[in-house]
Amino acid sequence: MKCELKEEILELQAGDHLCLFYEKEPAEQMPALVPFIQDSLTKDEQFIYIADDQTVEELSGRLEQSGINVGQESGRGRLKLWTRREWRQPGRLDLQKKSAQVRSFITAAGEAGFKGVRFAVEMTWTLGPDISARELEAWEATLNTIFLPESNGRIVCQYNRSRLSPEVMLCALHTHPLAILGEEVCANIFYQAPLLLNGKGRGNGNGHPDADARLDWMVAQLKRASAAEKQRQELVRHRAALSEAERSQKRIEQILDSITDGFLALDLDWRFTLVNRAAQGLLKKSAAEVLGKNFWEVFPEARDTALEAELHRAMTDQQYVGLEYFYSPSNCWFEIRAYPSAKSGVSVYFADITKRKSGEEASRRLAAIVESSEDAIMSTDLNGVVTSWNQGAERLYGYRADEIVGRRVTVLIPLERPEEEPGIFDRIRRGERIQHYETVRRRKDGTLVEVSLAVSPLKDEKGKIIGASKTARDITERKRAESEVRHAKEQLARSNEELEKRVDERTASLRAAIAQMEEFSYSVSHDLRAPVRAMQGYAQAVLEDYGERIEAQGKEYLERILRGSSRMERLIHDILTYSRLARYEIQLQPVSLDKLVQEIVHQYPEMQPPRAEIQIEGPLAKVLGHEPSLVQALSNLLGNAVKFVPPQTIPKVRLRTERQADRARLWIEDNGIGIKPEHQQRLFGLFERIHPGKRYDGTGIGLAIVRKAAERMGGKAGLESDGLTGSRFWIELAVAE
Amino acid sequence: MLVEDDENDVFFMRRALHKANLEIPMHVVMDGQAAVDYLQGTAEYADRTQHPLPDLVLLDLKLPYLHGFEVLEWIRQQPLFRELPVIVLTSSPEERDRRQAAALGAQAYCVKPPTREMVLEFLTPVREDEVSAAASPSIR
Repeated sequence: MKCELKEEILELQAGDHLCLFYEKEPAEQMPALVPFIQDSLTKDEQFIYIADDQTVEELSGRLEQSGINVGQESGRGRLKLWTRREWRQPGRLDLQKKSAQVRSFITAAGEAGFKGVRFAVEMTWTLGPDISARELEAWEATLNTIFLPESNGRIVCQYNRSRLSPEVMLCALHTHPLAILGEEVCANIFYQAPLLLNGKGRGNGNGHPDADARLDWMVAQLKRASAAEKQRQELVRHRAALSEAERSQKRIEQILDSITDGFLALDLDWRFTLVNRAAQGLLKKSAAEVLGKNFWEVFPEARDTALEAELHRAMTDQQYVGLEYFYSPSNCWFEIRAYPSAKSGVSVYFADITKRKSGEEASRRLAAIVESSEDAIMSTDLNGVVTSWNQGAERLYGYRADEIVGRRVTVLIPLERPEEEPGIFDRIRRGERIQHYETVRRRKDGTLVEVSLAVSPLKDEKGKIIGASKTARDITERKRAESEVRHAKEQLARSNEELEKRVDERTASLRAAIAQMEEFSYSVSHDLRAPVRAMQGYAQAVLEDYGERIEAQGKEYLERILRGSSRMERLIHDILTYSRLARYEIQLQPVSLDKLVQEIVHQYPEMQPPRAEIQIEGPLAKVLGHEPSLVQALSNLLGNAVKFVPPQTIPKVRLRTERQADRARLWIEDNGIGIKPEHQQRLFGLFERIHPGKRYDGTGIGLAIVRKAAERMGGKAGLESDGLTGSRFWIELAVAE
Repeated sequence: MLVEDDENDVFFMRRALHKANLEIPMHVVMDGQAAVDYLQGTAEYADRTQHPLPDLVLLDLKLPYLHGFEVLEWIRQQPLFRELPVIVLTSSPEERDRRQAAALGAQAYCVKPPTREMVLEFLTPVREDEVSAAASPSIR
């Protein structure tokens, strides 16, 4: 209501003369007066306020509260707050004087440069005996002659009903063309001022106007009021209709904004008349950017495209069109539907189908993959009815797609296996997957084929299991290969078994042979020893018991017997050793040569100082060998080294090892008599002796034993000698890490 | 008791004893079975006044009928002869024989021919009625 009042105040025009009625408090006037004053200040008109019912301070405060800068405006002279002192002329109310006063105010305002002048007068200034109601009435009527449209002034007379008498109020009603009552500006049907003024001329002695003229006037007023009322109502209706229209428009816009599709409306000139929120988002353009603009200017890239053609078709042929269009600024695909819009242009709906398109693309690709796959791929519903069947399946099973789609997949199962499918489908329904399920299927031509199946559940977009997808692979070849491999393996296993058996047998017989030989040599050596022992024993006994009674010669014979038998014993021992070396299984172990040599030297006094000097140079390498054999060999070599020296010579023997890669050579170097090169060949042979037994005793087997031992340990033995400056014997064996 | 099949070896043993001044009665059996019979007191050995049980057995290995080790085994199986000292006297210097002897419970292992020193060594403990538990190998 207040806005309406404000609007009506603002619609007031120059020359308006209004009365304002309020019940009691001056504050009641403010809703009407404040806009009136503000309007005046805005329009650079002077405003003169005669405050009487309230003090200037009170008024000032009220105006400040309403946002009027009283100080500033007063300073500018635009706002004058007066009291009755500036307004009321002394003495009785003289119409002419007062008129002149008021006119002077108006003129002064004009001279001061203001565009107009407005008055607001609190009529309580009329209180007092000096002014009668009749006089007031006359004055007010006169005001209507001062304030005319061309006069550039307006005036509001404010009447406090609780303070002014009814007669005064009545006068006000008679004399003001417009009245502000409460919140309304009304055309005053009781306005009689012209009558009053005219009546002055013609009136009867009482001063009352002519009744007839009055009647005319009142009728005319009524008509005017009625027309004004009608106009007002018209205005109200119009406003209502307008706001209804606005509301409809708003509703439509709200609806359009709520839909997810983009919507835009184009008029016949291709100008945007409506763009909903979704459209703004999809096109990345705000409504402000496009409304009113031409579609083809906003989207020049759409020219010469199917879109242009279709939209034009919609517009000109007034036909619905639809197409898919790629909009590059947003990098998306739109599905566009354009509807002709009842002779006023075209409405366009569009939706983002990028996802669908890529989904379609993906679908197409997948379908192509399935089709082209070598494997048989098919799908069924939960009842086993085939829903899809690829080329691979055609090849594998012989049924064409059109022959089998719609039929149950059980047609593939051989009669002997009826239980399979239900089992498979149960698992599928539970959401399980089946992989590498090997089974047999029947082709269209009745032949059986071995296949490996992979089955997985098919789900719809909600995740519900709606069928099964199966891949089948022909595994006939694989099965055949597998069985071949199996056979080959069995054969191999059998051969292996045979081989092992044979090896076992051989080993057993070998062992038996060795054991026999062992027995044999054991017995042989024992039996050979016994007579030798007897010889020695008796010869010894004779020497001991009858030695004094025998001559030197006799004693010598006996000693020769002893020597011979002793030698025999040594021979037997060496032969036994040699033969054992040849037979024994030798297990090679790491052996410390240092330790071994020291033990051997320790055992034989002839190898120790002062009789001999055996020197070990540096640490000797550790070798892989058989300790007893190595002891034997080294004993022989060292024994030889200290034995075969020139007379009166202390044997000096030097031992060292030489490493080469994974082999170690033990050198035994002596200062003995040496061995001439031409003799070296035979040296390691059995029973070979170079020097006569008279000079150097020996069995002739010693070096044979050395060589045999070396060979059995995977090595070699040899010597170097120039026959003059001693000999260098060597044994070569593997290094032990 | 000397269990020995070679008469030369018997001669040498007697000689060794003589040389060691040990006048100990020595009964000789010349094969393995005879040794067992003697100890058992069977057949011709029934008369214990003629054939008293020995305090010490000298045992050769290579014997007719029963091998020395078999005799030794038998001896050790008899409750009566569990503690009977047995010394193996053999021509074999083989390590494995030595081990076997010890394993079967021989008190000592000596290699022929017996010397005076050897005899003293293994007979003295017997004379004093002691049994040597450890085998005392000698190498010639």
